[in-house]
Amino acid sequence: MPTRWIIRLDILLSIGLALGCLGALAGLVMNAGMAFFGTPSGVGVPLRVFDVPVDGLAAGGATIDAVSAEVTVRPDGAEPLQGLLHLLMWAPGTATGLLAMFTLVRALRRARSGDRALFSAATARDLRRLGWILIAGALVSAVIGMVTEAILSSMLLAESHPFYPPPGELLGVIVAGFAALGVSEIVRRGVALLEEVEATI
Amino acid sequence: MDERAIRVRLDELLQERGMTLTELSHRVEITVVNLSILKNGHAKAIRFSTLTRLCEALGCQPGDLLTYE
Repeated sequence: MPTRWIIRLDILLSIGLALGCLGALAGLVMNAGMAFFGTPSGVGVPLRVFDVPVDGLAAGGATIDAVSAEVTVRPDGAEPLQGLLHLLMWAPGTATGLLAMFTLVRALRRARSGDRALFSAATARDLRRLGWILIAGALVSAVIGMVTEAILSSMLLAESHPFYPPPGELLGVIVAGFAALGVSEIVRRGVALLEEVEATI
Repeated sequence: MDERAIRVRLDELLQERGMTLTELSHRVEITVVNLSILKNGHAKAIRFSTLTRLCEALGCQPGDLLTYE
């Protein structure tokens, strides 16, 4: 009998996956709009800026040393190249997230058929796949994001930097990927042990 | 790859003693299914307690039951 929390988690993640797909679709439409028709007000390319003047921002007795902020830049008119670069900025990360969620939903759906299905070689395989998706996806997103952000910044900002460090969240994703690989190995060894115990007469 | 393995000679011992698997199952209090698993070489391990009971019931030594081939 599957436990109730697995069913709830499966439903929650399925809804999240559906909403994520819709969000990605909306992003694609927005990107296509940016590329071929121009960017509507309120929508733009989020870019990081450094060395922003902060005079008078710090409270008495404190000093601001490093400054970074995010600005949303709206290109004038249709910009196919900028649209494509913006797509490359967010699409790999979004695809990684959706693929990871899909893998999780599939594993949970299988686990709903019983406790043995949850603790099985298939779950270990799914977790290993999830781990590699997270690690590879985060690394690819980081590299592509760094390059595209640098190019877009040079196109859309008066002052740009040659190197934009990847956001700190990606490190968390990589750690989660390694954790998934670790859990996968635990499940795999557990299943092997269980099989051995069951085949002991 | 090394093809050699431990083989359980349960079939031969039963035949020599004119005993059936069901009869042995009653004597050692192990199900016929588990004895079949053992007999067909599908078992991954055998407990000392199982080995002791089999040796008692068949009147043999562990070496008579298990061979390395």
